[in-house]
Amino acid sequence: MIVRTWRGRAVGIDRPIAARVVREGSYVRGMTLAGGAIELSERGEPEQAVSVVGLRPVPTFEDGDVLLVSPEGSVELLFRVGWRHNFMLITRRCDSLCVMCSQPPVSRDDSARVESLIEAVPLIPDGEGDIGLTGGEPALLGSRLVRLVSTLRDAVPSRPVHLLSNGRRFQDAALADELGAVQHPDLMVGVPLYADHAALHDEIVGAKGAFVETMMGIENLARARVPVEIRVVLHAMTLPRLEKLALFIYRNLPYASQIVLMGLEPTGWAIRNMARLWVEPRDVGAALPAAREILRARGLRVRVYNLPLCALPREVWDAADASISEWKNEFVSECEGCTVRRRCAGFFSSALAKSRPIAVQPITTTNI
Amino acid sequence: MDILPFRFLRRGERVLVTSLAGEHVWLPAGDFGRLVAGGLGADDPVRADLEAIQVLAGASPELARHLLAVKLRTRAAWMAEFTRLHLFVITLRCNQSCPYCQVSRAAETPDARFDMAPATALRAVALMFESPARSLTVEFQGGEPTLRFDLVRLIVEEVERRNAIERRRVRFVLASNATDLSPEVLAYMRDHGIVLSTSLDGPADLHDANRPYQSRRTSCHADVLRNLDAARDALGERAVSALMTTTRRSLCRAGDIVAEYRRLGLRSIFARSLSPFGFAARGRAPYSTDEFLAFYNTLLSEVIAANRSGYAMTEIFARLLSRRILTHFPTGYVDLQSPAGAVIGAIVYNYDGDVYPSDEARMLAESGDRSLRLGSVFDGYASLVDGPIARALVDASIHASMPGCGDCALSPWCGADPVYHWATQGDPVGRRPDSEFCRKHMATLLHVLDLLEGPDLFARQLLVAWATAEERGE
Repeated sequence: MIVRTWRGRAVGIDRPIAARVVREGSYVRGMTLAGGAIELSERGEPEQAVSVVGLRPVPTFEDGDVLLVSPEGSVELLFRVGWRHNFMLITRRCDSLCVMCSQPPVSRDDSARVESLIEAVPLIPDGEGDIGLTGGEPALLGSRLVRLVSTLRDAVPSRPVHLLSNGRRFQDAALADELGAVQHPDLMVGVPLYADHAALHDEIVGAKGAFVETMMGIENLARARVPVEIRVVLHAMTLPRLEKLALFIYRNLPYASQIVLMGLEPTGWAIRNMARLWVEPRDVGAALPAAREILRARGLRVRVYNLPLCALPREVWDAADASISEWKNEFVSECEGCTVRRRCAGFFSSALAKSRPIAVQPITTTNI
Repeated sequence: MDILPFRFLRRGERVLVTSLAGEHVWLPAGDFGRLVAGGLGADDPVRADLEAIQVLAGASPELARHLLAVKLRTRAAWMAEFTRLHLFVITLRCNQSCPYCQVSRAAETPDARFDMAPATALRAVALMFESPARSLTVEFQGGEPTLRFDLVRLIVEEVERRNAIERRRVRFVLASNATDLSPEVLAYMRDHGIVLSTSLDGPADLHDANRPYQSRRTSCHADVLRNLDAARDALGERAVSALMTTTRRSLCRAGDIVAEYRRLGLRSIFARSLSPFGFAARGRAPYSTDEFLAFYNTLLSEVIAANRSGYAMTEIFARLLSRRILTHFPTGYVDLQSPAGAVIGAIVYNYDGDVYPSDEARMLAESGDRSLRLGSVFDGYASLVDGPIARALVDASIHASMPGCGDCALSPWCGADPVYHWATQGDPVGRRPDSEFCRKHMATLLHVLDLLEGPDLFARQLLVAWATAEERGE
């Protein structure tokens, strides 16, 4: 797993500072937008007036990385140039409490963070890889989130922006309109929808009324001409009605840009609720062709994320993406001889940390 | 209890329940009994299925109302466009003498009384551009419109001239029997993007019996085949289509007809029953609706079999019905709408300058009943499309206020045909129990519904693919 946060001792830092890494030999400096320099070092004693020292683990910064440095001495990787997908955590707060949440929310008010992110964005070079905005629930930031998106539009217009939101806040049409008015050239909002009726969806996301708010939110976004992707996390609570959900999406949200069927990330609350959620990956895979066909036949684009190819029937391989972010993506030793490893999603590091995945089956020339 | 308006139809032990927006579920009779008795508890397993299609309002009546409204709006969106299909009957003359068409053709010999005057044609084009529709379809009809291809040119060029400023999306269709398509005609069609819609009733013996020449004994079928090839060469496969009319002779020939379409490489077939104008209206129906339905079901299964064996082919009527059942999106087919497409979806400019709400209304006039004549092309646009007849036809074709349709579970998918009911029952609203329109549409809808949910997976997927071909950009 790749480290995203380092901790050390801050010197001369009184507020969060965004900085871009500039390496000079073994010496790492962060350059701020204003041109100031921050020393970043695993050594114990600072050489500069503004620095974070004693960093652990040992820094592996790369030239061009964009970092967020806090007065408390944490250094967070916001952006890495070489990655296809970068993402920014907007807030840890959330108004839902999903049974399978991979990043359980915290209630502490961290709304100042988005201002630091807005400062950091101009340090990112424009380019091809996309930028994810995630949480918690980013839309809790309201207009400040919109301001972040418009900063992205101005600073890195070529980078697609993918906002993950439960959509509930966009039941306020004014917020959806505000986001639409940014006219970002390549923005998509990924909204989870787990059921074709309120009771089940609300139970899964742990919030009464969420289904209604999410449905209205999706529609407001669509009306504001913001492309919407529907995300369905696959587990024991969503699989039984998956085909009905597919029909519901076509009937009610036919304008969805795509529907993403996603494997469960076994971390966070998914672990403690595993008894309610667990389905063998192969059984998850077996449920996909029918739902996928319902959507595909009706002209809707379907993608399958987070499931290794060996768990999927061949007929849905063309919909499967190597979707797990680089920093939390791993393979197991069985995958060594597999001929389709390069295009495989592989596993969440978190899944491998707990136990070996069951029945990994390398795809070889003999079983293809 | 949170029950929203719904309609239902009992079939054996199951009940078809349709929502206001035309989504459906089948319920076992016992579950349905609990629903109507108001006895569905909060944990009743049937609840989720009914909430998902807004038969039950569930947690949020507001959301349910909203979802229904969006879907109903989608179904009704075609009305906002107003008249898109404009039929120009440029001549009543024809070189064929099909028995099923005696009211809408005249002798082939030149006779100006049966041709549209140029001034009439130009005035009709002007009227067409008064329609607010952004998409316009100009369909040339007859008689046989190629007998006066000079009028086709006149109209096409007038449309193109006006459209340089109007910027509408315009589509031209030539409804021709394809017995005589000269290279010059085909070149003109190619250059101006005119597609060909022709008739092919089946193999040579059937086609020639149904569609003989007026003044020759030679095979019309042979000429059509030659011209079909030439048209496909000149215009491309997609610009040539055929439909068939079912006569008494066709009834036992469904397999032969489909085989003939396949042999000729045609990718779609539209099985149409005879319209009653000039026949049933006079009490001489050539076959019963039940006979047609048996024929149609056989033909449809032959088309499905052709697909199963690897030959891709669409039956257009089944495609329309499954699209009505499976989606909220418009079909673009004026005969399967409520309110009816008469005037608000299509309008007919007759060779003599009269304007009619539909081709059937024009045929009715030819057989003596001119009561559905909207006026003349030289009348003002508003008086034609917003006059008493146009209004009466819309009023008489809104399912919600039509006895027998208002509470029919199939009505969200069905259409209304006030012209048909005027012709056959003397009342544009009509009586459903003895309406052959009702009988035919209920039976075909239920047949398609059975196929969509039946054990034949291939047939199911095929009908879904037909229904949603437009969404996939096919």
